[in-house]
Amino acid sequence: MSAQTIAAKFRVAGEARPAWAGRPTLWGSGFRAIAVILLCAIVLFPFLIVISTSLATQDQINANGGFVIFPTEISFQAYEQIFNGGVVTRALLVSALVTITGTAISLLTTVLAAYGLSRTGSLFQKPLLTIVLLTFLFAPGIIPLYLMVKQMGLLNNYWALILPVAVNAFNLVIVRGFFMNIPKELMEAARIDGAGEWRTLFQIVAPLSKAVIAVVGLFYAVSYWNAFFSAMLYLNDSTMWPLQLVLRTYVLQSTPLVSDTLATLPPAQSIQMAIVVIAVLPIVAVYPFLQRHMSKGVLTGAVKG
Amino acid sequence: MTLLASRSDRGTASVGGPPKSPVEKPRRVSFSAKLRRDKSLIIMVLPAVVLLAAFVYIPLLGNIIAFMDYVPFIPIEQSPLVGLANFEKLFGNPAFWNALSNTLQLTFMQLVLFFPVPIALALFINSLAIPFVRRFLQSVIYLPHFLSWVIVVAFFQQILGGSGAISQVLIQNGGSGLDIMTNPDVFKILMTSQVIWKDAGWGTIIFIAALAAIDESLYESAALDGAGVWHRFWHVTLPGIRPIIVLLLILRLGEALTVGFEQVLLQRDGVGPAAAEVLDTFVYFHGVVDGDWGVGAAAGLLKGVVGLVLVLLANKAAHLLGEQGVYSK
Amino acid sequence: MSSNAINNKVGRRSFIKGAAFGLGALALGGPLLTACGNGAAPSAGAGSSVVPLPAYLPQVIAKPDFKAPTAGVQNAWLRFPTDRAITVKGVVGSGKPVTAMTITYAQPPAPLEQNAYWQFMNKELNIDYKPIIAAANDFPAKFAATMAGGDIPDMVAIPVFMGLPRIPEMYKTVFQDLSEHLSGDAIKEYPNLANIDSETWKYCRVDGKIVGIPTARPTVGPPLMVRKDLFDQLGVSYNPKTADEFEAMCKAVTDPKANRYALSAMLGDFGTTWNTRVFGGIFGAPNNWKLESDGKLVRDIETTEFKDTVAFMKKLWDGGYWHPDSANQQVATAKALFISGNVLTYSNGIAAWATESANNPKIDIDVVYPFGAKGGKGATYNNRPLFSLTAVKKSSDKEHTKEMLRILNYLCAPFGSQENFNVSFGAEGKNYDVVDGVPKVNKTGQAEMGVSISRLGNGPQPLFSAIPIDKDIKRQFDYQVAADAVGMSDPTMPYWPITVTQMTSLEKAITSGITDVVTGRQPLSSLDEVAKTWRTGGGDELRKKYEDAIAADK
Repeated sequence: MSAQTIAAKFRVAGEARPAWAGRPTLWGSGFRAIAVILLCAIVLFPFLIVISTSLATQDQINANGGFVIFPTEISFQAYEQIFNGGVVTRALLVSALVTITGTAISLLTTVLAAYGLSRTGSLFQKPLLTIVLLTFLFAPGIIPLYLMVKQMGLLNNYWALILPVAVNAFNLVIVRGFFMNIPKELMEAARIDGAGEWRTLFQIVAPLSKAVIAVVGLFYAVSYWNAFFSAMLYLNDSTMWPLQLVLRTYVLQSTPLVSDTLATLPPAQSIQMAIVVIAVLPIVAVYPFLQRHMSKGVLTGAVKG
Repeated sequence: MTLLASRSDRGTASVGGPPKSPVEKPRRVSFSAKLRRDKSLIIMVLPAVVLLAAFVYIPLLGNIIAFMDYVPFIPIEQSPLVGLANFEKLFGNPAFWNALSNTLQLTFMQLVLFFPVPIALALFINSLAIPFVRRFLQSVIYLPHFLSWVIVVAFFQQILGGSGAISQVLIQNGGSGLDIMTNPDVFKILMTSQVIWKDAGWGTIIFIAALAAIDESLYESAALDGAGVWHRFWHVTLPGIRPIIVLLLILRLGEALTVGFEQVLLQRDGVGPAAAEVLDTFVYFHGVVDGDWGVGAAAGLLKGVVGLVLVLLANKAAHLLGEQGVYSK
Repeated sequence: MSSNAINNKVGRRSFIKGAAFGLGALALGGPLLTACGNGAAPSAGAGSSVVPLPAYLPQVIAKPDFKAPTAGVQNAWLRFPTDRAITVKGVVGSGKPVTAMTITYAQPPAPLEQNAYWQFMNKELNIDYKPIIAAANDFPAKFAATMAGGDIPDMVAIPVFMGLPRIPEMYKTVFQDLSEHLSGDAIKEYPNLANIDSETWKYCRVDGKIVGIPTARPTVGPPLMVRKDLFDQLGVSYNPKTADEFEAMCKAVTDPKANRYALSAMLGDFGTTWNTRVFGGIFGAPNNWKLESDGKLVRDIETTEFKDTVAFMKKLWDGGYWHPDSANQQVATAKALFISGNVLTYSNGIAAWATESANNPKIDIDVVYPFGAKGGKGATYNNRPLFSLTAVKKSSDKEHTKEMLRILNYLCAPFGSQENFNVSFGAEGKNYDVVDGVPKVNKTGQAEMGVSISRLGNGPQPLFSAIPIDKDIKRQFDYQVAADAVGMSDPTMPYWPITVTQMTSLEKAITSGITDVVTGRQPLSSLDEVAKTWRTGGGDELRKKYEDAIAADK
């Protein structure tokens, strides 16, 4: 049929408008356009302010009561001050290392476990699933966890930032949910071909689940990247601190009410904003790569024939 | 695969339905046979379980102090057991019930007002025709998630605050300034709108992934069968993302008592604890700052138990609707 | 969205689910001594003798430009003294590692290998300094975890204003009793410590024993600073002599159309502070507690003067003189508004005045002098004379304890001494530049001083600014003299280690109650309810403990 031929031509991972979708109406397009513009404005305008304020001079910030939309003169003073001394640079590297390693370990353990728990009727499935689920509802207190980490000899060790949080039940359940929705025919076909569970997972299930793995990978990565509390608790050596913890000290620097003669200069508004920019930039840089895996039509035609 | 077929023939090719049981119904399989068959699966789960056992379950034993008058820096065995005294202290404190009430109100409000927003946004993005626009929107919509609450509250104050942009305009024209951010009566709505602004975009990510996983050929078939936009949405798209919606809903209920911590910390003084205190801040002040660790642990146990009950109930409800939920029977 | 929780997993969730302690299954290396049973803090002197305070042997190091007439006023210097005396002779440390936990208000330091300041201090003190720093908000958790973990650092600088619980027990079980080293004339061995006055040492006793070294701070209470330049521009005087005149002053400068307000509150330790410590003095309300002649304590919220204070603050709110965001104003924002001229007053610790004057040469800061509501002298609330108390780890090795004390002795060197200069300015040529004869800490210095070693001990603080602001220093000195003359102290402050459970929550409830009244959410009469809730929630228990402690000290 001609429609099918056309459809086949457009079956390029959802790039162009598929034939079955029909022609867009004028009202529909107009409404969509306005909505898109509004959404972008609501989302991007604050960041414009954040970036502008980070590049503005203190005088202009004072005059504008804290936030600047268009800086009249650009000053990198905030960034200079933050990167001065190499502490932030080093912290950036630490964060990058912990995030990459942590995400890899988390994804591996999560995907494996999610698959292992996705086959209904398998031995121990119920109890193991319960064990995982309960950790979603009950979390240990600060001090017992601290003692455990200490007992394992992980104090002042970067593994303390990874191992205790490597497995997140929420993420695991999501991956498992996606796995369980993969058409049974595919799994059956694999089994008939003689594939064991490992091959099924890595050669069939995982490639089909690129979207959810990318998403959960993003969740894990952001979690590692933003973490500061565990670093504060477990890393006594402040030269080992990751980015967010270091940046936090800038934010919390404002003169305490009890007032202390030895307090250093409180941070300018520009520094607070520069901090946001520095913390977000790597994520913004990485995100487009993940987006590729979340495109349409991954399962298209997989089941047919 | 026709449209009708995908509805009644659930579980064959559509991603929307629960999986059918395998063609061969397993007869009584012995334990050792099962072990042999599922050995790989068990090994796969092991690393996660070991990590969780070490870093969650063993430290969870420490929650025993919920039943003790715990003193830090001495061995736990020497802190006296006080039975349910900590729980009594908790339940006897009217501030606790106030915090609980606020928490439940907020959870409910967010479920109704916030939860659908990422779904709607994801569907909207998905419906955009021009790939460039779609990709661009997708790559910026999550950004507010990365603004810290300090900044989000500051922004809101700049616009909605008593001397914020809107107030200035009103004052210049003879009126009085807005009183939104220090008004206890609208505080919960304010909080919800802040959450929507900050996190709705982030929430779309998982739904976009879910939408991407829907078999494209289902749309084709539906269109060929003459289904219009609305029909395709109702019979292909929605069923396609229904499992993940149900899943997330159940998980959200499991965290029903966890609502806004930093967000509340920053604003509770402005409206007063009667309107603002939530369970998490209550526990923070009474459990951590006051150093009453026993009460803190008691509250934590309470949250977990309530969450568990809600998850089980919600899961049951999901089963009744034909979904498998989080935990299938 | 639940994904919020993902990102906050260990941080928020375990944090807020409260801490628990102890893993019965695991062997713990905790201290072997038992705590005091039910955890009730014993009052100072309960059954134990009170150790004599250390002798006060003031040193004259550098002559101040303005000499303080009373102990409550700071000596003032306009320039850094050029002749710097050496107050510490001989080797301080033994070359071994020294771990210490302090709060930090600075960014984390560069690592030792790249940190000239750190290396410099190590050399000066002959130690291998290993700091454990925590930002103020994180300190309670970090402190609790470290104490529970059993690896007690050699020194811990415990902030006295945080209301950390179970301090007296901690001092008994985990920290060293320093009485034999410091009481009476024993302190002569540490001349810089002897330079600290006896009033401050009162705060360093727990259960009658001397248990730590103070980081001294000025005692003059928070002033109400004003933008002199803007007041002059508007032609309004900022020297009211009665409460009505004050109100008129506020009215004259407030103009919502110009986005200009007279006052702003801000968020303090326990919630919104409506410049309470300024207004309370005006209306004669007690500084937290008042000691009656019969030895009984009265809390401020139980007095009529306090009600008058809150009623006045409410009157100002109704008049619209408070900035509309007051109830939820961060300190940094309140300060920014003051500097940008949107709020014409600002109240913070006395040392903030010098800092703000120095950092903002374009504005002119003066102060409202104390006055009484009905035209009398008025009063000011004195602060505690210390920020933190540095405790030393319990050790049977006397030499080790002495080494720690020698280190603290160095750090407490008075202003004008070479040691004080070393700590404040660091390594020559690297941490500071000399501009027109004035030493100024440079960017490298600021980055490296995050080591925060200066937070372990401080001698009496000078009224001084590295950036010369002569006019402001003189103004501040004069103000301090006047404020100290009418200063009122809180009789319970030396007994800061005494706490009751829920203490912070009790205080928070009070500030919430005040905010409710000021903003009109509740009537003035609700303060009675607040007082009652405080009393039954632990206030009476606290009162009794304080009363016993004060009586035992007589």
